[in-house]
Amino acid sequence: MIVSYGNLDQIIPPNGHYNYMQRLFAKMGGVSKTQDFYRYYVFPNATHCGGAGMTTKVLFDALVNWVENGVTPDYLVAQVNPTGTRRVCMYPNTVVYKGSGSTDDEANFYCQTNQHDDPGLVAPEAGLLKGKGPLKGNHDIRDVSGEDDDDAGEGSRDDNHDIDEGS
Amino acid sequence: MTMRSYWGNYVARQELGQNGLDPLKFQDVNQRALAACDGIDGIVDGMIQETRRCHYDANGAVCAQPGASADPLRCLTPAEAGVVNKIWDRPRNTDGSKMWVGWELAIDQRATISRRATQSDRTVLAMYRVRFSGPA
Repeated sequence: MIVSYGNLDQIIPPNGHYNYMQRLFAKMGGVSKTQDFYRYYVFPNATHCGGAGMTTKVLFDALVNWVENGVTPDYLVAQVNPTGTRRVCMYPNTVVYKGSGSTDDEANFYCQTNQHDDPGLVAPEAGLLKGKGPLKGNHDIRDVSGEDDDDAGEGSRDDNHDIDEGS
Repeated sequence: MTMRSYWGNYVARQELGQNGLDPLKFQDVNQRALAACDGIDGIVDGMIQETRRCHYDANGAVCAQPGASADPLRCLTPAEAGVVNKIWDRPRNTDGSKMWVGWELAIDQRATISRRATQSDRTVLAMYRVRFSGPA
């Protein structure tokens, strides 16, 4: 499975998915075991479902190549503008500039392998989703969204089951 | 998603007694956040590699502050800066406890400071107008 977010997603907060990733890693026996079947990419400057080179072609090509040709997608390449490319590393790896060459060429970057996300970045969102799965037990979220719905006078509490899905 | 959509209007109503924050002002402060955080990843390219490392304080965009906009339609009052900071922070309960994840800072700058107005930028900007200025 390939999942992506734009880090400027204006509809679904990427922070929710970072939170989900920590729970997924814990449930599936660690980062590398999870990456055997589930890879997550955060595209800088992309918004909801696209922008900044986060295209269905990039994502689907990588998926086909992975499943049919056995090419594991450690990173994707985003065409951020007509002359610029960016390397988008598989989470929680981070992209690093090699120190020379154009910063508009993804080839001048490499992916630093990380065993986990930066704890300082994860900590503020810890404990917000204590449920056992997306469809049950997320009481803290459901209660709050219920208040929102009351305020708006419409909508259903079930609407927020999709909070944690990818963009 | 629902919560995040209403949080901005809720805060503005609580703190400013109005339904939203002027889009021009929100655009300005997001622009300043992007400028402040662009270089954190080591490359100034109009992109923030890791939005979670961006911690700009909206008080820097308050009118008459050094570096704030001189345009009274764009710079913020201290109360408006407080609203922006609360929006960026996260939805919170009245006791201060966290309701939900934070709104990554500068997240809507693509909608508001795009160098070229694409259809999607206009759509997003329209959404923000509804979200921050429309009826709650």
